[in-house]
Order: sequence, then structure tokens, then C-alpha cells
Amino acid sequence: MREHLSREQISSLLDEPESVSGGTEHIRACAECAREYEQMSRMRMALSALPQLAPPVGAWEAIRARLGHESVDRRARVRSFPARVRPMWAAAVVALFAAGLGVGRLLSPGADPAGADAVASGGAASPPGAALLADAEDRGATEAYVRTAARLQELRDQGPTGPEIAADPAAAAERLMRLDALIEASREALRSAPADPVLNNFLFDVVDEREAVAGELGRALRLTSAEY
Amino acid sequence: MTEARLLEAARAGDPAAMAALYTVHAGRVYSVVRRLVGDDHLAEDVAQDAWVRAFEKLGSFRGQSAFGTWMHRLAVNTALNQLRRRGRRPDVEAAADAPPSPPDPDETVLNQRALGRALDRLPEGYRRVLVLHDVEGWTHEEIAERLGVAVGTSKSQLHKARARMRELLAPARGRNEAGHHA
Repeated sequence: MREHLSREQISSLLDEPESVSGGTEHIRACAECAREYEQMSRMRMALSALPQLAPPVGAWEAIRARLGHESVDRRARVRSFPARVRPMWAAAVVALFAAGLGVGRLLSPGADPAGADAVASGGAASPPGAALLADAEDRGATEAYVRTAARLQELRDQGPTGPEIAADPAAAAERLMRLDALIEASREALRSAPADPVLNNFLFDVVDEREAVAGELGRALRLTSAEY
Repeated sequence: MTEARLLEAARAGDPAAMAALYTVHAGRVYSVVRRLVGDDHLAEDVAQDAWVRAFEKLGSFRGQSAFGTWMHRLAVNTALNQLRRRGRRPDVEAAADAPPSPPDPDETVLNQRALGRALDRLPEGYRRVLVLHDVEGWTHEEIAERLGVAVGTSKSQLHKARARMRELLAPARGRNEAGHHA
């Protein structure tokens, strides 16, 4: 009876050819042990090339909740607001202004805040929030509201574009950050005007884009997983 | 947007920056945790624990290494600590001792699904060394230091783990346990 090498010995030979006395010579002479050696080598390579696994859906929301941030699904939260017959235009203007300006500062730290004010107020002198409310009430809240909402849309159009996102995971990550900031801003505004159709549509669009970009980023990272 | 700016914003508590960091690194973190613990539900809990700890400890991250490297180590430590707390559970032992099911006809040793299932069936001690060495690329010295064992123990566990994997993936034909011709 001629002894084969055990699988443990073959594993050891894979990493350290001198670890088993006479092992290398045996593998050269024994077809069965050579086959086992080859298959174990392939298994080792396959293990080193296992793909990344996708985290469970909703994992980030659970983490946010544990960190003390908002936790519920954004769409569910928006839809759970009680319906209002009359949109709170003036309050929404203030909320949008504050949120939009905040987003602008976050996404463009070097930008002149007065410039954002000017956009939000339609090119007039930069009023503080309280002055904007008075201004909105005086001149018509709807007009100011539309201009301010346009500022959010303008912010949405800035930053990395589709081709950049597809080619560069860092650009996709930046886009995600921008979208998250816009989601937060529009949610803040919706607290004042929960039934507002423009705000709701804007939020849905941004959330949809965020999901698409997250998917794009996931695919890009799988393609570049060798970096890890 | 550089990672340094993302980290700075995340340290300041900015949820968008945290979300961006999570999005970039979540796949790698979940993968190593899932493969170490061998269970979907436990992996979800452990990965969450790792991320919560990371954001809570972000202030102590000084940037000596890349955030991804730091986060990966933190995730591994969280998973190993969880396994140590749980100890050896009966269901894990039963799964490891159960006779291997025959592989599907279309599966080969390179089939990733089959590899994943076989990993889940390994005893925890084998699995953690195999995952850290063969999947994650750690050295035996790194594994020994992290687990508090001798380098020789890490090597021995690895070779037993690979042998067990081969048994699970392709039950021996013409070869008995002692390695003799049948």
C-alpha cells in the first residue's frame, strides 16, 4: 500500500513547498495527489477572488436610527404626513430658503453666501430669513416660493454628471452626498408644507436618482474591487 | 470631494457625509463580516455594530491609514468579538459535523455559491482563519496576533480548514481519512 498525502499536507505544500518531507516529489509521481493539489490550489485562488456581497437593503436606515438620526423610509415618511387642504406657502418659503442656502454652503463651501441669498430672493438685496418672510408675504409667497424651489433644482444640477459618475466611484460618492443634502433640505421644507406637490415630486425625483447612483456606485466598486 | 473632506464632515455629524462613507465601503465591510460569522442575520447585526462604532469613534481616526483599511479592521474586530462572546453554538457544531451534501451537478470547486455554502458549514475556528488568510489576505503573523494564538496554530487551523472545505466541496473518492489508497 502506497500512502497518499493527506489534504492537510497538500494544503501545507501549497504555501510552503518544503514543509512536508518528500511531499513535492510525491506529487510529481502520484497522479491522484497531483490532482488534489491542483484542485486545492484552484480553491485557494477562488477564495481570494470571491466578489463583494451586497449589504442588506435598509441597513443604512437602521444604522442612522442607532446613531440617533432620522430612521424611517423617506418616502414612507413623506406619505405619512397628514393631508393639508391649503399649502403653507409662506412657511415653506422660509424653510426652503434656509434649507436651500444650507445645502449651497455645504456643497459649495467657497461660494459667497450672499450669492445664494441673491438667487433665493430673485436677485434682490440679500435679506435675512425673517426679512424674506415679510418680503414673501408682501410680494406674494407663491412667486418667492417658486424662485426658491428653482434654487434647489439649480443645486441639484451641479456637481458630477452621469458619465463622470459611471467612470469614477469618487464622483458617484460626491453625487450621493449632494443628493443626500438635497433630500434633507426638501424634507425640512416638507415639514412646513407636507402636502406640497412640487416639493413632494422634487423629493421623489431626488430619492430615485440617489437609488440609481448608489446602484451605479455599487457596480463600479465591484469592477474595481481588486483595489482592495 | 476628497475622502478627507468627507471624513471631516462626518466627524462634524453630517449625515450626508456619513452616508457617502457608508455607501463607498459598505460592501467590503458586509462581505468580511458575513463570511466570518457565517449567518445572514448575525452578519447584519454585526455590520451595523461596526458602522455605529466607527461613526462614534471617528474622532479617534487620525488618518494614518486609509479610512477603508481602518474600517475593515474595525469590522473584523467586531465580528471576532461577537463570535467569541457567542462561543460555540450547538447549531454551528451540528452543521459542521453533518455529512456533506452532494454538490450540484453544475457546481465546481470554483463555483462561488458552493464556496460560500461550504464556508458557512465550517466550524467557526476553521472559518475565521480561512477567511482572514485566503479571502482577506492576512498573514499568519497578523492572524496569530489578532487571535492571540501561535503562528503554528494559525497554520494548522488553515490546513484543516482547507481540507474540510475540499471534503465539503468534493467528498473524497478513493481516499480515506488517513490519506491511504482505498
